[in-house]
Amino acid sequence: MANAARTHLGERGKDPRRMPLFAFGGAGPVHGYRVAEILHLPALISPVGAGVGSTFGLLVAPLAFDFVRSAYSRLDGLDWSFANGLLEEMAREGRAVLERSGLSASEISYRYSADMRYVGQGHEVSVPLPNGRLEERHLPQVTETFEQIYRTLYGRKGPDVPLEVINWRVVTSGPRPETDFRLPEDDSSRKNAIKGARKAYFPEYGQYVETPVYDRYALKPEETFSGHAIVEERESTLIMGAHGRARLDDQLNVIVGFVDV
Amino acid sequence: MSNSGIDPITLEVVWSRLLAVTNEQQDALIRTAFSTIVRESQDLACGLFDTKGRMIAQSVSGTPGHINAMATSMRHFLTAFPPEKLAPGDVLITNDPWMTAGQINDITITTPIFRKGRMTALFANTCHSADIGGRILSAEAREVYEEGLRIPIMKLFDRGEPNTVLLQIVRANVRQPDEVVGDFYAQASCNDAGGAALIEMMDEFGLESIDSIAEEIIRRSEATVRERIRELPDGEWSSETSSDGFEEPIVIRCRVRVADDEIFIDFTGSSPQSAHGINVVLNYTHAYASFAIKAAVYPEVPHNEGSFRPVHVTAPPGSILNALDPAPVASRQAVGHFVPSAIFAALAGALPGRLMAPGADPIWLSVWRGQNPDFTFTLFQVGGTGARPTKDGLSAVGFPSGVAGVPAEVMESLSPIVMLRRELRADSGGAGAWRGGLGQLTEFTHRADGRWSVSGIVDRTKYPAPGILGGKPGMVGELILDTGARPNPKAQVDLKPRQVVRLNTPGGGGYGDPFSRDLKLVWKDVVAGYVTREAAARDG
Repeated sequence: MANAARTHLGERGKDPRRMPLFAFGGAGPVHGYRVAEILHLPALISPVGAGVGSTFGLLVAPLAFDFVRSAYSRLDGLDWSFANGLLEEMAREGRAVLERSGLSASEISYRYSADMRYVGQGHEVSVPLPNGRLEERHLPQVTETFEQIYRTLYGRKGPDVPLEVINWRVVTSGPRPETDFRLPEDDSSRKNAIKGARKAYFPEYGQYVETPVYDRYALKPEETFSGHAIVEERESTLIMGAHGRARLDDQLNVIVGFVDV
Repeated sequence: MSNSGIDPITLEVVWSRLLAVTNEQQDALIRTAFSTIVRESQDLACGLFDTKGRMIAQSVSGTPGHINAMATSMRHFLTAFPPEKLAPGDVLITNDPWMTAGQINDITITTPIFRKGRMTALFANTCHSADIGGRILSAEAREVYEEGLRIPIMKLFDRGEPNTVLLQIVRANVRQPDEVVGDFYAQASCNDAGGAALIEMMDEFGLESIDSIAEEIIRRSEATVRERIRELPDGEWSSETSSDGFEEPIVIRCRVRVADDEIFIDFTGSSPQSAHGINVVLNYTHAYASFAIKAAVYPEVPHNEGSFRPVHVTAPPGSILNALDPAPVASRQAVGHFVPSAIFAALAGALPGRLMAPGADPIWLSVWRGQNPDFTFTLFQVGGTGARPTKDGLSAVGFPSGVAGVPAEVMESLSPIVMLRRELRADSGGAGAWRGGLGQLTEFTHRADGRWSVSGIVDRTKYPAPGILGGKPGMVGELILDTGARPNPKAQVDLKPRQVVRLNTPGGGGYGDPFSRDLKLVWKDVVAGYVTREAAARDG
């Protein structure tokens, strides 16, 4: 799993050390700790109800529409008013759809980017663009952003070859919906978060060890616990190894960090 | 515990990780490459070497001719630049055919990786360059000097600084300077990506060196290969294979001897080296011979220094499969790609039910060139593979080279060439209990009014892929002009504006008696258009 993630990250040019692992699906929290540890991810986030994540997602995602227009041009010969026209057209379309969905103009935000590469290459790098009308004077800034991203992805700048733009993109989105999910109010039968202990195998100990078992529904915000542990809930089970340090946020996500060893 | 003191589970994990590291290297190469040869056809190889220059891991795809030849090249790199002469940021390059992949277009780029001030490993990759000057890629040269610019082993980057003198010379000598130099940069970048992934792995596992792990990987691979070879019956078998050659046919005589846990492959009796560029250097012969043995005998063992050791390959100096400098070698794959089929033909009796029939064998390479507008485009095409003991052959799939065909859209967006037709070639697969894979019918023309030419390096236009155990041969390939003329399929042909060129790739040979083929399969082939009604009636 970690190798697949690593190859995938390589293909996507992402640095794993800057991304926490979000464990979803019923099996996510079961394997997540080890994958996060192998990949040196900063943290593992185990949400409430990992097994019903898709349903959650549908309810909490901001309304957003992505637009893309393919319009090939070399960057040094770019028709700026044509490019601005495309970006504005997409922004307009996005605004219209979002307004029809009940958002007001002031609630809508826009992100602009261009898919760019060295002339002659076959794969692009997505480069964020400054907001507002693009002009000739933005050229050095756009070129520099491209080179910086390229260097991060591939270790070195490319040859002295001009740049070209393949696609223009706009993401229009509304505000994050206000959500207020609550688990059932205090259940007095669940005062003690540790509901028991059992023997479980942990490779860092090389053997079966007595492991505390937590009841997810009895854990409170800001509660912390460290070391090997099992956290049980209806849709999944979270396994945390010896170097884990768990903390609950106010949404009752269990956030597992790693103690330096 | 094994000899090296590494526990077997850690070894397994680290080994898989090294393979993943080379796949990351390959992904970075494909994403940064300029030429379609690398990013579409994947005519490339990526690998990781220990400090002694022994290959420990290679990426999943790539071509055997590159990967196994690259493995040999590392000794030459380290002889020219021993570790004490290398510094962080150095990148080495060569395209010497006799040291690397046997063709002057194939550029090998190597990067030493340093950790805590010590050289820890080397990453290398070999890619077919879009152009290297000289004649347009064909078999027409009489000496390697005509085939382009030869780059001796030298630094492409010196402590991170590009070798601008070399780059200027290359740019001035090639038809597509941006593509060629762009690919050099991509080749250097992907080694960096591999190096970063390796160092991260060493940090993660607390490894100070990978040499002891390399030792163990090599030892285990060699032991497993020897075990597999020991399971074969001892004996000696031979075969004879004919190919079109340039003007006269080329004969490959192959003798395979299995003795206990070693295999000896010898090509004595094959044609002498040719006056034209279809000669094969021993490195490349060795690359394809060891690939054939891997495919036939130990497909599951990862290829590395250890798995090469028990397989010995020889060919007389000055023969077609061991051509000597300065023989022309640009189209060596037109002969070299027959090596696996020649070995399979020899081993067919020793490994019953395990080997497939011969297929189209050499990839079909054609270089399209025009001056108005100016373009050079290298196209790869493939025919059908031979039928397998329990399945039909694969249609339009390359074997032994893993190079992929190019989509029409890519060719048409980068050149004024239009692909008018591309379809599976009915009846091209040899009949048999299992049918050979089909070749393709393709047709090209030029949108513009300027002069243009095609330089084909295509084979099996005279000698079809034979069937085995009663199977029928596949159909031969064709390079035909709209005038009906059939020019030399290994030479540059000048074309008139809007002329139409047809390249029809060969089919694979059949396996077993056609009359024993399941009638339902025959019927399905007719319905799918793979086999015509007439051919079905004739062959079963």
